[in-house]
Amino acid sequence: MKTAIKQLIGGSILLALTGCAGTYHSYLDTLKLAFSSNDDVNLSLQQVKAAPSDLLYVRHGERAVAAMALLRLEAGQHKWVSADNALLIMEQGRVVRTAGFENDLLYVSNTQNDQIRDYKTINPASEWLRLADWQNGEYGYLIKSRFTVQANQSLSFFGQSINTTLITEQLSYDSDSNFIRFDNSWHNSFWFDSASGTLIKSVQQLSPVAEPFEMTYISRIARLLPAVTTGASDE
Amino acid sequence: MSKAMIAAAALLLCCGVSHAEVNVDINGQRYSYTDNPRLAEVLKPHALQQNWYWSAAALYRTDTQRAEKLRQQLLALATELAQQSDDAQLRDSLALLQAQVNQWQLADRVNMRVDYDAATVVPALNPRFDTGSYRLVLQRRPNTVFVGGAVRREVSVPHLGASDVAAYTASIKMTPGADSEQLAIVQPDGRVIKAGISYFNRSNTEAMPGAQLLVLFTEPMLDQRFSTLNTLLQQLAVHRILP
Amino acid sequence: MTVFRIPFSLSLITLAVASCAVHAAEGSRWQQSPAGVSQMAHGGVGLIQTPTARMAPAGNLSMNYTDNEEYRLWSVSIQLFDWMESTVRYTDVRNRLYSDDPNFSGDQTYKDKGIDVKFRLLQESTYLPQVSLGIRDFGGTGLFESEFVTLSKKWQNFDFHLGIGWGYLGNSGNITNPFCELKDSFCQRPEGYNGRGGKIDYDQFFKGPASLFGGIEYQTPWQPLRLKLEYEGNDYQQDFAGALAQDSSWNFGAVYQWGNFDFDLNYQRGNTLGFGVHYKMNLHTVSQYKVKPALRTIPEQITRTEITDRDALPKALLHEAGFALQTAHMTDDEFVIYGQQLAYRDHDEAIERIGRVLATEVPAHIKRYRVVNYGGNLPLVETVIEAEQFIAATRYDSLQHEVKSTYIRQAPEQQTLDYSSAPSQTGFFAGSELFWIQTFGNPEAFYMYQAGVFANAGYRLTNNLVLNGTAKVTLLENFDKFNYTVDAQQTPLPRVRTYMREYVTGSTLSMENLYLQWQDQVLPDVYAQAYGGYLETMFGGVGGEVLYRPVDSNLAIGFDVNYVRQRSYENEFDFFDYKTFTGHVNIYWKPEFLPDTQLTFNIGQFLAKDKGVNVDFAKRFDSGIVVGAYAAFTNVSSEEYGEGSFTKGFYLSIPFDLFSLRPSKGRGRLPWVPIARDGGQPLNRPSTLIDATEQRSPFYD
Repeated sequence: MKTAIKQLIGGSILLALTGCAGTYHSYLDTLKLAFSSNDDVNLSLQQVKAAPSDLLYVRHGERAVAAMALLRLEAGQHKWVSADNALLIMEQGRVVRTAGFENDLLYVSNTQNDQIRDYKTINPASEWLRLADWQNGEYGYLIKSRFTVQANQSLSFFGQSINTTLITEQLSYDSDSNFIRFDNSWHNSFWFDSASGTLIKSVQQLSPVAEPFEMTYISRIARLLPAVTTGASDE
Repeated sequence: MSKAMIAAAALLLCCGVSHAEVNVDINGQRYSYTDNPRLAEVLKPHALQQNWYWSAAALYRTDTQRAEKLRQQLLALATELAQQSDDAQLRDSLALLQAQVNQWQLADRVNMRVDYDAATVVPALNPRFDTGSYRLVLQRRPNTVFVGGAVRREVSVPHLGASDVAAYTASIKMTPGADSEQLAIVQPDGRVIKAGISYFNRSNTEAMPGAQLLVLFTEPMLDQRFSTLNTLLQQLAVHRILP
Repeated sequence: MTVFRIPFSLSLITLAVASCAVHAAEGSRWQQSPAGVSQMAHGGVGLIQTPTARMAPAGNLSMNYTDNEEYRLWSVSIQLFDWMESTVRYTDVRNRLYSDDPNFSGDQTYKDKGIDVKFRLLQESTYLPQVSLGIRDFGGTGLFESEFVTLSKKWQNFDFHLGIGWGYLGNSGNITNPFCELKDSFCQRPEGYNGRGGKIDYDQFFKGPASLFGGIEYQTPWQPLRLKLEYEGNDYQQDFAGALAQDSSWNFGAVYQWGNFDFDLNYQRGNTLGFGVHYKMNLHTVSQYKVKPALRTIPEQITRTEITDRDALPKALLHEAGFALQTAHMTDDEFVIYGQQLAYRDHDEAIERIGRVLATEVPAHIKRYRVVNYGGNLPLVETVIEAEQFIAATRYDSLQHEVKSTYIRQAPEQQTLDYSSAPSQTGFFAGSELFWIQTFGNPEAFYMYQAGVFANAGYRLTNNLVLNGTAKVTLLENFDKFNYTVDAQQTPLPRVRTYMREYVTGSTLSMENLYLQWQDQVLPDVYAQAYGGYLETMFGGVGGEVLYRPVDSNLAIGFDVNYVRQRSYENEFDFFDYKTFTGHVNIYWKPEFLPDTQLTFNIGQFLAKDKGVNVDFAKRFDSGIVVGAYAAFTNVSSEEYGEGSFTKGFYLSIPFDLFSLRPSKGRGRLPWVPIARDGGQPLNRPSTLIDATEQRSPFYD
């Protein structure tokens, strides 16, 4: 009996989509946007030098490189702002607070003992401990760091190389997780200009589950490069 | 009652004396503005004095009676529930709650984010003050959490890092009639979250430093009034100025 | 049948975009949420073969494919409310043929479809378990017909389940049916089904053998992995696939979560390996990254005294607010704009964007902005914005800067409409749309499709009078595999819809419709239309409709009357002899007690001259996706109706905005009609006033 009934299901089951033509334009746009490679910011040395405020190149995770401008330097903190009003607040090159990102860093404790503040006195045996609070509802997470120093690392900007000291920070996230995790340690990098001791680049991942920030102090670099070669490096 | 009257009298005094449009008390220091200032302007003299924990920064209006009305509503409902209950233990619990709530320092919390740095870059976070009197409370990262509601005694306990709120249950002495399955967390930024703390409904919800953990009353299926009491308790806790 | 139109090719790419965003949010916490409930083989939250009392989060949609030797199951399960889960399913029985006749269905294996529902009766508390009641595969021809009541109790990472099932779930009869002890009629389960299938067989419920079933789901310390142990109450002796060997009543399984996917592997009956793939998304929270122009900032001082650049306003309104300006009018202190909203489906967002443009483009002394929204030629809604308050709110001049409180929506005032003698719009217009028709479960092939273009052209004679025509061009299809066009059932009803295969397999170029249409607002809150010509694929004639729809009202009422004649499927312009009056009183109601829900009642005479009501239930999720179901109950008996017993169907309506990076309006509709024959079939009017006046009291957006 069941079979006889089944024979007729056929022509009557219809699954389809309906729509209207006005949406084609937004579809084409969507396709264009989906396939266009987001371009990294890439300013010339002259443009960087002419900028009214200090600039910082920031790549957040897999996103394109964006330029952030130095909004204020106050109370020992550099405050950088992006075109879409996101803020990165740093102490001596260390990100201590963010605002306007997906999961903001609200607070970091014990920043005055951060060894990156004076990389020349780094002792590979000593640890730096601090607590971090996060916007998405996680508060008081213990982070432990140790630092190692490698001299004579060469970085290249505007076609010229700069001799740097690389500080590698080995971090571990020491608070318990409710489920087994295998990703509680990672590392950050800080490059200081060997001659002046200025921080010119860093890669900082604020937690194991955050996307890393790759930050290049492009205005500082522009000031470090010898003036004579400016024309040559400009393309 | 007498407390409310003094508050009202103080209010009259302040407004009678001053002709300024906006009065703001920031951590005990008083400022007057003849033009309505924006948030960043008000915060500026204090913003950099300390490393403030902006998530716990709060703005209150001090010239309205909204919070006080809520308190009276809650007290009246608790009285009504106690009068109609033949459970002596529950009556005690309600009396304890009333005593607790009577002690609370209240003001009309303005539901907005207070963050100096964000206010300087995001227009929506830098609104203009309406004419009136305000109190602005800035603090460094608090290191405690307050436990109140259906408890024997209101306590403050050290904040536990990276911990589910269930970790605080050991330090909570619930009263009869308390809901042991969940807590209401009033985060210092004004958000209220419910979190399961029983063996079957743990949710991994954390209290922000400076949060209030409110133990609620069990809501009997047929009596809506306990649910109203719980709602009032949560609403009122938002308007608290914590010690 | 329904009209099927889509821009189809793009959805795959953008779906992928949408799901990436979901991952990122979940991935940014160190403490992970447990992987949560998982789907059973038949679809719906459960263990392996058996359901549990658990529910998925409200709005969850899970698409499932599972395979266990004899059965392959495709299902979609939706958590409509936090207390109600519904599942639809296709079953492929691998060891049975579709029919005994190879000429009819070749070597295709047997297909069956089924619908399940589950309701939560009690939520878990300290001492009580969660309790749910469910009905599986109701509606007549189901292979897995069961009723069950099940309990779930959680202890830390263990979730314990115990249930009692009747029907398929209880076939082993491991306990005595408790109802059988009370009443003898419950001891035997009646065979077969009522009417011609497709009806709910209440008289079988809770009858016959009953069994206890249950098990444990364990969330392992590794978040993506859950383990399952199950004791089932089916003995597989009555299965459609034949009596299957069962070496054990214990089944084991593991589920691994990867992003939005769940993969499960299990060992059933002590001898059978099974597996499944499940994709889940949430209809409330699914969203799309949007590329929008920045909100226009309103300066502290507005000094504009006159409009200098006449092109700036329409350009800005279109680009920044998606508003196509038709005309504008300025009085001493008011500025009125007339036009159509083309993008931004959220009305409040659209108004804020329009207001920000107006605040900076029109003279500063203007006190009030009026925005008159048209749908086609019909004035639908007037939004009155108090300029001073609006500017203060958008400039954050107050701690309470709620933009929404600075304007009201109302029916367009006569005076506002009188300001502008809208330029008469006459002339040609044209457009085209893709369509894609797909049908599942056919005897010839399980999946059949037809795709092509609807080319539309028309001439607007006056503001209210339009000549409209649509040609259907088929580009791609496998409908040529059809091995019959008209079913062999004897039917006493006129064949108003069951010639469908004849119509869709006509020529590759056909005339879909060609008609003259008049539309107008005849009274405040009352709209009317009349139309005549070839109205749809299968019918032509004349008709009219009136609709009363106040602005932002929960209720709209109207009626339509039509006199139509059946079109010939043999050529484009001829008619068959069948003629009828058809028309309905139409009631559209958004009840307050069911949030985001619209109920529609169409009461009257249908195409086959049967009288009754079509009831439509639509639930809107926060993302804008609408899930709906409808059924027509008429004075046609199920015997007269034939297979399926009565007309019913389901649909999913998806905003295109969820697929595009730019804000957009418009929707796609995915109907699923299990079986439809000639009873309870309405005329597919070329346009309905409820759609044309959607903005009056929006349900969809």
